[in-house]
Amino acid sequence: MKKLISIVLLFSFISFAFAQNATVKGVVKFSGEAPKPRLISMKADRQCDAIHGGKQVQAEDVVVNQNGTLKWVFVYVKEGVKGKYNPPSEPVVLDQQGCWYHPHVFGIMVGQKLEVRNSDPLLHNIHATPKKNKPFNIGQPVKGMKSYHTFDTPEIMVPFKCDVHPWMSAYAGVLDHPFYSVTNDKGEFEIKNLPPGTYTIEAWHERLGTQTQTVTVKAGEVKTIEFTFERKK
Amino acid sequence: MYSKNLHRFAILTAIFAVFLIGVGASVTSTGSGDAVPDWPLSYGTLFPRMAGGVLYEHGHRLVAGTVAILITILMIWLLRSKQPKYMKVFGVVAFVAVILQATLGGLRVLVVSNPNLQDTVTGLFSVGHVEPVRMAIAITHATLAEIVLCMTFLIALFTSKAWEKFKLNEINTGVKIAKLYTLTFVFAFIQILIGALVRHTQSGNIIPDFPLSFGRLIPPFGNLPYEPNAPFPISYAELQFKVAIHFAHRVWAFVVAGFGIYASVLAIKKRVELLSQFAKVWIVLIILQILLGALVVWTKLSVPITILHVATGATLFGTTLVLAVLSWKGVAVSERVESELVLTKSGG
Ligand SMILES: [Cu+2]
Repeated sequence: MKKLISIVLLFSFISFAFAQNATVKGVVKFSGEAPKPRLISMKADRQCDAIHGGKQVQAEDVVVNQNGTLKWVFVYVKEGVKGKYNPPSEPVVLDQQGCWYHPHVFGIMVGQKLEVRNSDPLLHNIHATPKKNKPFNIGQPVKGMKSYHTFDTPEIMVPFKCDVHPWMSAYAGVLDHPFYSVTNDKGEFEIKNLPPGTYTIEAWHERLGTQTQTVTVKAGEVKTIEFTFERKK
Repeated sequence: MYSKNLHRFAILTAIFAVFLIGVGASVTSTGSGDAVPDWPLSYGTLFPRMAGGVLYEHGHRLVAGTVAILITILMIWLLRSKQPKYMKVFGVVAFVAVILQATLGGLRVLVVSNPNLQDTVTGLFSVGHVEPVRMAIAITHATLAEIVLCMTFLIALFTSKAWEKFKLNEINTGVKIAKLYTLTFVFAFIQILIGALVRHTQSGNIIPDFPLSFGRLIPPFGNLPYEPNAPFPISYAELQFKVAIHFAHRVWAFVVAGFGIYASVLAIKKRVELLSQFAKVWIVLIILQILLGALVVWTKLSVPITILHVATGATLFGTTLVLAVLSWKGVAVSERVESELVLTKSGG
C-alpha cells in the first residue's frame, strides 16, 4: 500500500512537473515582396530528371508560404538551457528521394542516430561539411541503402550536400538539448517542455541569416513570439 | 638525336597535361571533388554512371590516368633512347611527380570519406579538424600539377628540332633577358600558389568588383562589408585574410605581367627564332589571362571562364619556363659563366 502511494505520488509529481513546463511558439514572418521561386533543372542527371517527368523543381532555400511566412527556419534555444538531456533512442531520418533531401532542415541531438536513406534507384553521396564536428562523405550507390551517423558536438548548422547532384542540400541543427523546432508551411514553430527560465531564442535561415530574442517563461506558460526576416538587398 | 615520333609524343603529352589541369579545375569549380567517395575505384567500379558530379570527378580520374600512362611511356621511351642524360632525368622526374600527384588526389578524397584516415591525419598534424589538412592537400595537388606540366613542356622543347637548331646557332641574346625571364618564372610560381589559395579558400568572389576593389584602389581592410548575422558567419579576421589573398592575386598579376612583358619586348627585339616567337605567345597569353581574371570576377565565378583562367595560367607558367630556358641558352658561354659567378657570390 505504501508502495502504491509512493508510485501515485511520483506520477502526480511527474505530470505536475510537465504541466509546469512552458512552451514558446510563434511564426517567422517574411517582410517585403517574396522572391520568385528558384527553379532547378535536373538535366545533369537524366534519371533524376525522369523521376520529376522532366519538370523543374522549386528550390527550398527561400520558401515564402502563402500566408507570408517563412518555411525551413530552424528555431532553437541558443542560451539558457540548464541540465543534461539524453538523446532519444529513435533516429532522425534524412531521406533521399527524387534526388532531393527530405527534410530540408532538421534538428538532431548530440549522440542521436541519424539515418540516411537512399530511396532512389540511383547513386548519391552524402557529404556533411561541419566545422566543429567531423566531416563525412558516404557513397550510397544502391536503392534502399541506409547509413548511420552521430554528431558529438553541438553545431549550428551542419550542411549536407550531394556532390553528384549539386542542387541537393540539407541542414541539420545539432544541439545537446531537445528545444528546437523547424517552421512548417504556415511558418509556425513550437518549442515545448521548457523549464521556467530566461532563454535566448535564435531563428536561423540558410540565406537570410540569424535573429535572436530573449524570452522569460513562467511555469506552465505558453509564450508567443514572432520573428521577421527581410529580403536581402 | 632528334626523333620526330618522340617529339610528337612529347607534344601530345604536354597538351594532355594542360587539358588535365583544365579538367581538374572543372572539378573544383563545380564542387564535385567529393562526388566519388572511394578511391582508386569509383563506387567500387572503374566505370560508374557518369551523371552529375561523377562526370567531373571520374572524368578527372580517367584523364589523369591517361596522362599518367602517357608520361610513363614517355619516360620509358626517353630511358631507352640515345637522348642526353638530363632528358632521362626529366622523364623520371615527370613520372615520379605524376604518381605523387595521383596519390595526393586520392588522399584529398579519402581524408574526408575515410574516418580512420581522417583521425590519423588530424592526429599527425595535431589539428582539431581535418579542413586545414584537406585544403593543404588540395593546394599542393593543384601546384604539383603545374610542375608536372612544366616537365612535359620541357621534354617537348628538348625533343624538338627547333631546340637542336637553337643550340647550334651561335646566338647571344644577353644575360638580362635570361634573368628577367627567370624572375618572371619565380613570380609566376608565386602567383600560381596565391591563385590556388584563392580558389581553395573560396575567395574568388570575395571582392565583387574589378578593376577597383569595393569601389576603391585598395580594399578598405578596416571597413569591409561584414555580416555578423550571416547563416554561416566567418570572423572579421578571416574575411580580411580572404580579401588580402584575393587582392594579392590581383596586384601580383601586374608584377608578373610587368616583368614578363618587359623581358618579352626585349626578346622580340633580338629577332632570334624560337625565342621571339615564344615571347610573342607569352604576351598574348598574359593579356588573355588578365582578361579572363577580370571576367571571372565580372561573371561571379562562371565555371567555363574559371576553368579557362586556370588552364591559361598553367600554359603561361609552362611557357615562362620555356622562355627562361631558351634565354639562358641564348646567353654566350663566357657571359653565362660570369653571371653564374655573380649569382653565387650574391646568393652567398
Ligand atoms: Cu544525389
